[in-house]
Amino acid sequence: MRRLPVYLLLDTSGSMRGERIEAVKNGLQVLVSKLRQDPFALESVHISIITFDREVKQLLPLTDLEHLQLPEIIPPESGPTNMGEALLMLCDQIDREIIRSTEEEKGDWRPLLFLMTDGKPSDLAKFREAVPRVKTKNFGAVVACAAGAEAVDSFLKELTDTVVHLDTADSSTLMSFFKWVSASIGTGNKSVGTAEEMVLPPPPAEVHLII
Amino acid sequence: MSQVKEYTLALFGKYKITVAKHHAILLDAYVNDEATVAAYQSILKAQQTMLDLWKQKALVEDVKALHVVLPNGMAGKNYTFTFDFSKEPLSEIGDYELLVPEQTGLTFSKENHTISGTLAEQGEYVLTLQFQIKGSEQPMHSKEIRLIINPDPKSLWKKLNSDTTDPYWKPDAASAHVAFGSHTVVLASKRGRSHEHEGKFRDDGFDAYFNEETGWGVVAVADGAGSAKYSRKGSEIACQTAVDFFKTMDAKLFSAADTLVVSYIAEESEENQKKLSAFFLEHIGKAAFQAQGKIREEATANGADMRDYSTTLIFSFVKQFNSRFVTASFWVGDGGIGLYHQPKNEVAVLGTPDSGEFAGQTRFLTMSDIFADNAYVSRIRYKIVEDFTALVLMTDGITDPKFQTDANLNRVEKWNELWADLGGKNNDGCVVDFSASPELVEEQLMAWLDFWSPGNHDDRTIAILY
Repeated sequence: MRRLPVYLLLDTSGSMRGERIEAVKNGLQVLVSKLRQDPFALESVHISIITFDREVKQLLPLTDLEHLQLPEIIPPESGPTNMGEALLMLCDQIDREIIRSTEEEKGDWRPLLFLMTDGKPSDLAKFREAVPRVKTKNFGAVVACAAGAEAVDSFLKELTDTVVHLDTADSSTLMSFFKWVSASIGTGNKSVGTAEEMVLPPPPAEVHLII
Repeated sequence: MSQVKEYTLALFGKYKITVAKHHAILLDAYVNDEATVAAYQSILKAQQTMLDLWKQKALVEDVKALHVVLPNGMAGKNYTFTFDFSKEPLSEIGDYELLVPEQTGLTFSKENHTISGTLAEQGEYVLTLQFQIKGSEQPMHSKEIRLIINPDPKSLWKKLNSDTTDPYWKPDAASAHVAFGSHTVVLASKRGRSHEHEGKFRDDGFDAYFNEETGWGVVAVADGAGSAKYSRKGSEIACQTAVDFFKTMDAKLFSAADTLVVSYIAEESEENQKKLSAFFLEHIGKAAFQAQGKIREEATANGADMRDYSTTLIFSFVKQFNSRFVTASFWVGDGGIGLYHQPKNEVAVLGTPDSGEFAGQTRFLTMSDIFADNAYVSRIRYKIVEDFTALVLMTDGITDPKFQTDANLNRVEKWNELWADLGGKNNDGCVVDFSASPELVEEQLMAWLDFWSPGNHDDRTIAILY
């Protein structure tokens, strides 16, 4: 069976503590529940969650929806936002986990990446090292989400053309973001030409596409 | 020293009471006094109670915090899970109940600590463990245990009609049969479940034509790209144009083809082969090129981009000569075309599928470089055989589930499996009986197309010449 690998990179730095992380957890719950109602997703979507704060962890290894159980996410009190290191880990995981087509094996669908932060990378050198590597991984879509007033779009723009900004990182806005993510994942398993970009569904009003 | 005295002295010490020397005898009498001993014993008892209560509270906390993971289930499937009560903290549980929501379809057996049954309704459920710690007289505590019952993907597919008012609408299913002289072509095409689910169109297309006078015929199948908005029209134009090219081809060219084939059959010389190759390259190539051109015209007329009509295309130009069957084909994209000979246990795959690094990536007729630098030449193959069982053209809706990989497409075992599958070796009770009337074969082939294959829900199109 062909897998549709979906990588979620989530900022869990100190500023995410409290209402924000609860909103993210609810959002993930809804994301997974919605995908479970989509028969194609249920048979193909595999999700991995990588969190980044001071530490970078693959909190959930690439797991199919059928067996997936969301892990607990607990942000630390404070500390840096090691987004660069998270992207480097992502590249390593992609190299390890993604199946590419060969004569003898059917490859995965092109992987999708959704990154969410309420700040900016603290490890800028690593971030700049990671960006070109991420670009070689041939993702079907890379969506970066800057949530809340302190989130900086410009760094995310270096990573991808698809940057969305949420004015507030409250639970209803994050929820609409995650619902949009689920709709976007639903488009990830269509056949496309070898070099073509995936066309994402239009984001809801609260989710601004940064041009 | 007695324990009572020891305790008393420690207590005095804590309250900074010193026993004067002249009170030594009084102290000895005091610690042996009945009331003192009773007080000491009640203190011990109270302490024990405090210790026990703490231990119980800690255990309750531990039970509540214990991460009990129930594997996810699937509606309609059997489910069994046994709790391990042999380790702390669960081993310290005394009286308990496990409340299982009825909608799950599960029941709990206290005897072997097992929940089991056939999972009923999909959903996210909470099972409640009401428990007491051994030896405790406190009221029951409760712990929530989550259980996810996934829906059966089969139950989730919706069947929504496509928009019949769309200018590019085409039927969600189509089939045909065409007499090809001594052979027959049956064609069957169905909208995939993934398209039905969203009320989208069938993007695949097919066409076939047989010229009674010349004995030449052409069969085509095409798969419009799921990501391109007008691909259903692209696949239709591609097939029709390829077929029309031969429909309208000058009669002289047909006789030229006949002459070349006959000479080649008579003498398989290099020169004859070259002449025949050149003929097929020219005319098959023209047909494909014209198909691309027609799509470009349509895109321009509609103010759209050529890419919106992205489609694959496989077609084969065929004729049965006295003792030989000739097929010359063109193939761009995924899917497959093979000339299968069951008794000889042979298959000739007429080309190579275009596949990318990831699933769903392929090349399309509509891409500008398909005809650049004579690149199309490698897409044209011809084959002359004495006998064959079937010439099969398929879109990837068939090849993905039935062949899985590009390498398998060249394995005759996989073709044997496909042929047996068509002949009834499947779980759906579908049989395509090629000795029946073409009408019936067409009907049977349509029924066969509904086969279930997890993750493979694309449009399916197959053309079989037999």
